[in-house]
Amino acid sequence: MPYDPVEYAKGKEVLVRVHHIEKTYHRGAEVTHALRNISLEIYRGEYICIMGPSGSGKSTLFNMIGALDTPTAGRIFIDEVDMAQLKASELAFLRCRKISYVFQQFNLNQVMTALENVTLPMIFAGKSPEDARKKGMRLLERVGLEKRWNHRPKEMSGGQQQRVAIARSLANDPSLILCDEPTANLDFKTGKDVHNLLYDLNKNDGVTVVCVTHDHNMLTVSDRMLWLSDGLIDRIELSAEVDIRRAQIARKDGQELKV
Amino acid sequence: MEEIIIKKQRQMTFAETLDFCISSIRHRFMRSLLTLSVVILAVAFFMFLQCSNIFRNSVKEGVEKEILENRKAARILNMLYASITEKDFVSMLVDARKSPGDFDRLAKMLGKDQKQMQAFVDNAAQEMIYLRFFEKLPFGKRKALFGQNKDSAQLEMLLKEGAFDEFMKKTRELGGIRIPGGEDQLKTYLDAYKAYRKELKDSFAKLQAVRNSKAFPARTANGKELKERQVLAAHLLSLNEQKKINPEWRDKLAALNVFITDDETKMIVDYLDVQERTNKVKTLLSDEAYRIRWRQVYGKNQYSRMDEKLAHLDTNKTWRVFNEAPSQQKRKLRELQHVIYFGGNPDEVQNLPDDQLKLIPRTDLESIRKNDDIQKELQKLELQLDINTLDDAKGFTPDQIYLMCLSFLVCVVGITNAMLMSITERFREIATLKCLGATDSFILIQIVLEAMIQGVIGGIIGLVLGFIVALSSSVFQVGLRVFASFDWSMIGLAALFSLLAGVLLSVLSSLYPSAKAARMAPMEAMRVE
Repeated sequence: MPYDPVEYAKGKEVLVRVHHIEKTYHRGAEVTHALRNISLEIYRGEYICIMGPSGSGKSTLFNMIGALDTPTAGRIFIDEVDMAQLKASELAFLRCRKISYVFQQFNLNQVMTALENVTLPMIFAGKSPEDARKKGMRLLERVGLEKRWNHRPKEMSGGQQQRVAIARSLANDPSLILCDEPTANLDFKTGKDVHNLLYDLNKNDGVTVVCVTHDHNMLTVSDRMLWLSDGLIDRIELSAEVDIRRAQIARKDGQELKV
Repeated sequence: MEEIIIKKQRQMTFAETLDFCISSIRHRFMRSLLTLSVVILAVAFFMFLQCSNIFRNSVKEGVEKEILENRKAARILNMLYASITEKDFVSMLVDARKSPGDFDRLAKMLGKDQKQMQAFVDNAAQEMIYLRFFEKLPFGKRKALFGQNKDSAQLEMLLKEGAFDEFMKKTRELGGIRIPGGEDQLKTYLDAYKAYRKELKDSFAKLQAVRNSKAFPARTANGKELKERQVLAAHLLSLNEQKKINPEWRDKLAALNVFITDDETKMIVDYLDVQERTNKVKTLLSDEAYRIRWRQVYGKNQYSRMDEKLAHLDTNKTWRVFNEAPSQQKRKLRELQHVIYFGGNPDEVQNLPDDQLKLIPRTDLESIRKNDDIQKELQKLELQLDINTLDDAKGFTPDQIYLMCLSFLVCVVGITNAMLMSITERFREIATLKCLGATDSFILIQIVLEAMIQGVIGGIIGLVLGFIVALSSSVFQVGLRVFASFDWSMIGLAALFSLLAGVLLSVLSSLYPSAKAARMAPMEAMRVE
């Protein structure tokens, strides 16, 4: 069952519409085209992976979708609202409650404890400190770090830090979680934990997850995969399809498929 | 599935922002400390320079008063009985500008009212300024300008027809000569110079009349003839007991328009007392016969200074030497002591029997030594503080202002740099905060508030530090005199200024980078580093 965009879009609601965007960087006389004319639709409740070799523009696309950077040309709509039309405070609102981010570098506030890091977006959203603490503890429990709430990022392992970052991203119940290589700095096992967490969020809470990654293990949890190369969309595949192919390859080798 | 409705992000309340700032400073204590210490140092430096200038100026004023007061007795005696030159009279007038008692006395004596007297002494001061200036010119230039003329003749020379223009022409030709107050002032002064000289001559004649009246008998009670200069002294000294001027003398002086208060009489009597005793000791010590004995007793220890000799006389060694010395030397030492302690006559010791020759415990040797110490200290301070009775300038000199501006510049550069650094290195954190929903204004306010808190704390610590350092260095320089003339209002102003500089500079220099960081798209800010 090959990927058919029309078939796939049936019955799905568009959350993010990327409309012919381009991004060029100028470094002195040198001009780099990070993205060339990319159009894409991300549907509500899906789990999409953006893959590609380094320098292919994955992170740039991630920043555009997350309204962290402005495109040189083209438009991005989130729920049919043009990002370019939003004022700074409206963007802040969007980043606070509707979109949240998980970074490769975790980007936790180094001087705050895990709990303070998790409650920060809730404080920005105007939740009372008491409620924020309660919810923060619940979120930390969900990522399995309730015992380490009073630790600073420096006192935690990479996997733990990334779990705190995920707990933080859930603080204001966002509709969209954007992950920028969340497992790149983690070992295989902790990476797997992070995958499971994201998968769980996507399937049980209905959060849309957009994940930029190198990590092929992520494919198993995603719905769709977008392959970028040299600032262009190379191809889009369904994970199920890839899984079948993998299974076929595995059978050819006479091995059992392990899922 | 809920629809995304985009509203404006709420603003953080001030309390929340303040809370965030304080926890940010607390969490990042070491880093804040670094910025803080730069603020502290800059403010302390600024405060230090301001304060030490204030201290210096007020101490200068105090010491000047002290010097004038200390020499008051001598000045009164000079006025009444010393044969002084016209030039001395001019300096007496200049001194009177800053000593109210002298001013009034001279005014009464010369029969002038306050206003006339003020104009007169100002003219005298101006003359002195010009004469000192001419005197300080290099020899060649002075000769070219005035020939062989000296002192007041120089100014009188300029009064001749066309002489002034000639003088100015020469001055310009020679170059490098800046007449105090400028050319116009000199010209105006010269216009009134003739009248002033006449006034001065008349006044000086009046002063001499007082001296020449010889109102005081030239003999003391025991019939000993006195030198002119000593006459008043002797008479006044006869008042030693009550230290109050005799009504008879007061009337005589009043007839000459000279008025001396009881306090001043006491001052003069004390001054003369010490003077007399010091003179006797000096005479004794300069006696060749005595000096030979001194060497015999003390070996090679040559004490050239008065106070050293006195100090030596007071040591335990002296007692030992005295006890071991042969009777002849004992007699000589006893003489010395007798003179120093009691202001007595060495002849009286000559006739003492040997068994009564012993050192007497120190009594008012103190007064001589204290007087000596005060004189020395005042002389030292006069040089050190560059005290000039002609100097009317109040407030800071151009040099001091220049230095203070320079220190302010150091303040600006230091604080700006520290703030820029500490904010730039937080770009990533700021970007993260923006990703989490912080508004631009929150970031701006938070950082500026943080800078302000640092500015206030650093400013307060810095100004206290600067004050303490300035105070201790001044105490080290001029001693406890600093406290005698404390100008709290000026110090308060300096403190306010330093604090304001610290806070304002911190805020201003944090404004630009934080505004830049707040306005940037989060990813751009993260890329900076």
